Amino acid sequence: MDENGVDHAFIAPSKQYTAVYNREGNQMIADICRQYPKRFSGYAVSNPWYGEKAREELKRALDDGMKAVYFDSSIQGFCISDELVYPLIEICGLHRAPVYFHTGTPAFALPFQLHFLAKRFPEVTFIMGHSGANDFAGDALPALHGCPNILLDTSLNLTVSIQAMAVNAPDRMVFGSASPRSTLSYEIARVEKGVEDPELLEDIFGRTIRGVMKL
Amino acid sequence: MIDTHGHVMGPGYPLGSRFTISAEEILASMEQYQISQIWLSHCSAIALDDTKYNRELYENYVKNYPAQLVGFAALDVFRGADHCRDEIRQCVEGYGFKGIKIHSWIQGFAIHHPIMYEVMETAERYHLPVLFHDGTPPYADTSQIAGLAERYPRVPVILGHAGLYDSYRTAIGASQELDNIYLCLVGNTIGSIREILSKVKREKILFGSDYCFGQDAAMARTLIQDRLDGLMEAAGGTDIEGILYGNACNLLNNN
Repeated sequence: MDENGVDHAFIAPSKQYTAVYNREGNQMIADICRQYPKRFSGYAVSNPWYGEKAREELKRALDDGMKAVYFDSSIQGFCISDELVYPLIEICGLHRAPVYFHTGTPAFALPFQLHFLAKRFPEVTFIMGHSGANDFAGDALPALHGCPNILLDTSLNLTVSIQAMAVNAPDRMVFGSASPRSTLSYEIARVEKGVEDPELLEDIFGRTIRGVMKL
Repeated sequence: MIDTHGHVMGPGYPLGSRFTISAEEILASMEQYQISQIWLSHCSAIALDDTKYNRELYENYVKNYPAQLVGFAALDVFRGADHCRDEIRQCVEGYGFKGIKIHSWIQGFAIHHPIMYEVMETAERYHLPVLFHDGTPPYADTSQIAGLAERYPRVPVILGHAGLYDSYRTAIGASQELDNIYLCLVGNTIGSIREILSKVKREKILFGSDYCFGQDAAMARTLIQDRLDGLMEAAGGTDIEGILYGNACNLLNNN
């Protein structure tokens, strides 16, 4: 982060901690955030298949200081628009916690699935992780229609997709690296190649997400 | 450097597109990135009319620059096995094409169909590599294509996206299991490329850009750089000479 000029990162549990060991993952992230409160904020995870246990864990993690909630339904095993997740989104709404969904992986994690979830929960802010990249990047902008509560994550997108976001939805863009799937330096360079306006770059690289997360 | 995964743009794909690119524009981009050869299929041959646009690929591109611009024949399998055999023969014997391109996701057909088996048999007869779009279910999942490669062990099968974002581990496994599978690094994340570089024999890995598939002039200008940046960052200074050049030479020369 220091090498790339990144002063704050939102981090989430990954892999088995997203899918199964949610409590352990949340505690791991919370510990890091407590150790470096100026550098890290945490996403909580909770797999909706755990039912009541999932709801309890999500409330506990948010009360424990997590700023937002992260879902990767492609490994958690549900479609984004499935009613299975509604109780967890309701909790996010009550806690005013923004919700990040990985997208781009059929059949469980697609931009238009997020569109319909976002329409159902207009009070919740959603971040469309990877904005549908790779094969569903073309759905990302259309999926914003009627959903002012969706933001677009730039991570894993080609320069040309970032250019399209900058033209059509500049106020929705937030920078992401998806590290360690990609790297900070590579992802920063894609945004800088795709966006010329220095004011917009400031928004993408921090101003927008700071407002949403109330940093 | 050899770019093993490129396209000529023509009318009709993406839907409503009128973007075209000339041989000279392609050559200028190649020169900018020190690419000595690019393997090309015609997007309009994939989406609209294989006979018409394979011929255009030859007439307007390959014929005048056969060393730099290498043709791959796209096939409309909906026209049947006889048509596919005739089209391959024309493209190889008449146009000097060096391979076949299958994009079953866009074309919308299941690749484990008897017509595709006949395409693979014809590829084997002409010693042609077959470059597949992969990584996109339901018609172009990496495992489906690996299954086809398993049936035709003498046909080099190039997974054109090495599993893309979600199926790269299937691609890695298939390349380890099957001698005739090659992985073309197009559209993988840096983390995936690192894993591929660490687990797959280097001689089975190819560089590709997808230049300038499905987009417009803006994409044409940025796409090769995006791909190269990703590969360089993932490789971290290790030797990728074979990936950028030698492996592609060997693949065509050995067939």
